[in-house]
Amino acid sequence: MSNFIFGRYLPLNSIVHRLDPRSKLLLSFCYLIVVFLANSWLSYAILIGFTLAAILSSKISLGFFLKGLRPMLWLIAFTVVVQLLFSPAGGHVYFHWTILNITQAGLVNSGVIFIRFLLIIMMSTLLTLSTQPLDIATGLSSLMKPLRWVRIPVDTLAMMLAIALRFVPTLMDEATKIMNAQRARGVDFGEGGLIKQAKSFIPLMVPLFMSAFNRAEDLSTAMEARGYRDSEHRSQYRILTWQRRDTMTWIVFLMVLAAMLATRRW
Amino acid sequence: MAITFEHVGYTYQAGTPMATPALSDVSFTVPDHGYLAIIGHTGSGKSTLIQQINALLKPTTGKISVDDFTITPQTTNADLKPLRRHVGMVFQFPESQLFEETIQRDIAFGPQNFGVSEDEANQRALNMLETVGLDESFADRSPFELSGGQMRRVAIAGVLAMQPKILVLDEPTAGLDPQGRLEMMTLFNRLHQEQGLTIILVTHQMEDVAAYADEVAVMQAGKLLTCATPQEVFNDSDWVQSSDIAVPRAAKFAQRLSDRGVKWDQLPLTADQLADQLVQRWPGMGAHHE
Amino acid sequence: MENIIEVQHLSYRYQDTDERPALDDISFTVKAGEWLALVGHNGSGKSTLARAVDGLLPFSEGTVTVGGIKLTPDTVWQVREKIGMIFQNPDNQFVGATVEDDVAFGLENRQISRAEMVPRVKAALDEVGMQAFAQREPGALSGGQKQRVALAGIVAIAPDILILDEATSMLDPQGRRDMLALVQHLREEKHLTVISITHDIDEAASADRILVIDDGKLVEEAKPAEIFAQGERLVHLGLDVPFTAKLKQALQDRGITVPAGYQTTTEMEEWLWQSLSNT
Repeated sequence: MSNFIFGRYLPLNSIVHRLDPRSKLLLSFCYLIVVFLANSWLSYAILIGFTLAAILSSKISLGFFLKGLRPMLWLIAFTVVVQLLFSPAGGHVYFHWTILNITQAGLVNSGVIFIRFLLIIMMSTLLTLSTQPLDIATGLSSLMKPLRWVRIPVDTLAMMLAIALRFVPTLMDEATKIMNAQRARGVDFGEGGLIKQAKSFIPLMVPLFMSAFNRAEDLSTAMEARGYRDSEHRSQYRILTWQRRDTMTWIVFLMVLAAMLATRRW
Repeated sequence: MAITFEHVGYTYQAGTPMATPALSDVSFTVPDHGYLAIIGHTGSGKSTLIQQINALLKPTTGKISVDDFTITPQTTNADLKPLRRHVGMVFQFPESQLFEETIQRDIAFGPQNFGVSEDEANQRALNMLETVGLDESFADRSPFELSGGQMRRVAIAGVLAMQPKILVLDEPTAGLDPQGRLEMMTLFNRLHQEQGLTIILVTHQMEDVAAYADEVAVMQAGKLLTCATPQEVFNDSDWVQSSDIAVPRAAKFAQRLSDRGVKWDQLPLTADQLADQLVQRWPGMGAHHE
Repeated sequence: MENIIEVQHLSYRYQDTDERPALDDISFTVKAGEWLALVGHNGSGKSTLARAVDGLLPFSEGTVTVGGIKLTPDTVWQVREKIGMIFQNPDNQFVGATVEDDVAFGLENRQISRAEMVPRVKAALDEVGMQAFAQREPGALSGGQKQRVALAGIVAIAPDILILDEATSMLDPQGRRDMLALVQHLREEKHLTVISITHDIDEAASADRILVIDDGKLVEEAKPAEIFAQGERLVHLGLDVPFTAKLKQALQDRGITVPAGYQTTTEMEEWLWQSLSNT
């Protein structure tokens, strides 16, 4: 668990950290599409350059990213190997056995998949490492505001997301406490066969749910006592401001996009 | 069962950039049938310390002996079960560990994990209900229908049913009303007196320290400042002041009288001790008044 | 002085089928600026009573009037406007992701503009001494600090009445003392009416009047000194026994007669000193 860095926030003071979360969210989304548009080696090189530059300007060490990739390694390796062995014929055939082929086209394809995977994971990891979960939530709800017109309760969803995020650490603490209490009563978590392991989680999950329900009840009473009626008629304390650095970042991104499009095969 | 800590240190997330030392060089001994109170401010390392006793956290340095068991940084999880069987842990708000459909099954859960047969565990559960002051009619009810105070008793019964030799209590009376607190502390003292349980009590209640503990360990910033009898610890008023620890109300009150010239044979820590000494000095009553 | 809260013949059952009501025909009044303590066993109904006053329970029998407004489903939000409430568990009332977000929560609910919110949040945090923690997340705070943030949330709304529902019971002694001192200070400064539900003798001693609730009924109503004079019996009322009462009992057990009534520690010290010097 502890070296799983995807989804964690690393508080540092860099330009990437200070960007408007809406800016980062939209940019990551556009980046996702751009990665799939690249097809020539040069266009990939440009994207790799951009990604490295983004990581460097976040002041988070590259080693930290690479370490964080480790849990994803199996997923990546599996996809690459499947791509390598099952890709259609094309070019020189290096190896052939029943339905398995290793061809030149397969080799190139799996290389491409590997790079795409890496780029997307790197960029989304950068987003979560440099942005507080709450800011992501605020950014998302702000970006989704237009959906109000199609009667989607954006504000309620945003409130739910913010409260869920607020209680994640509290419930994780609670889970540790309950696990300790049950271990002291002789439960071995994570030992024995699959059924035994699954069974050992009942003494953890039941109390955790009870606690979550109790907390929810307390919290709703407290919210009501503090004047909460519904999410639609509220003002906002936390606001997001678009700064010059956001505009600058987008200019850089558009230039990279142009360079990538110019170098891709059409 | 006796407990010995030798130069025990513990660091959370040791070997990572997030490493935070929580205990350093802690050494003390609790004799068999002892009653040790651990006091100190929030965050001083009390909770980390008690989790070492049954190796929920294993020391990063040093060594802990609990009777014949030895816990070192190298101890593996496989060796721990016989130890945990003998150490009952009552955590803060222990009612949050309840999960079974009936109270009887919840109490019987611990012993069964340690190899006690279902029949015997169920029988123990019934006995323990009585020990904690609930009658047998509770056995088949759901633990979640009970009041907070009753749930806590059931949780404690679940720990006692393991028949531990050591009982570790982390602020066991937090959130109870005064009557509930009194009954709870009386229960633990009875187990200590009648069944010879070794008791480790983490508390902020200096009244309880004075009334029940043989020795008191004072924790501050992960270090053990002192471990001695309550009398010795609270008597040194300069030290008490400089270490920022609270004293029992009786001691504080006696201190005020001694500032006005009343001399005590030894510092009274409870209302009864204070009254005993006052009677001695009372005009026309005492054995030796000036 | 006028009555800011009037409760008349209030009864409440959690379920219609419950044999015993959680609140049974309770009537009392609170004067503006008064500090009232509600004491009783866990489960006696004192928290239920406080919730009913804030319109958090749909009681059917009896009336509650707060600041001249009779509590009905239509006026409940007006009534809540006058009341700030702090609950027992510091974690379960912390809504915001950070300290300042949490203080702003009540203001957001009232649709206060951001321009007005910013100074009010800052002033409220200054008031409780938590300005330095404005950006912190709740996980980084102690229980006592979380309760102070809850107080700041109430200061920001500026209600007339503060209800503390065992707000200090989960804190360590230091946190409890700090919280009590802060409430006393805020009460002076903002002329608040305070209702505190407590087992703590120091908190009860701060009150002008104590109501004892047992089994959903109001069984006693008196000044703290009169209540405290009951000595060892207090533990059955859901209150700690004051040290002087314990000492008094111990002395009486040993044949020394102590003056009747309740003594503060200073009074007790003085009396003992006089008696001992009287050789």
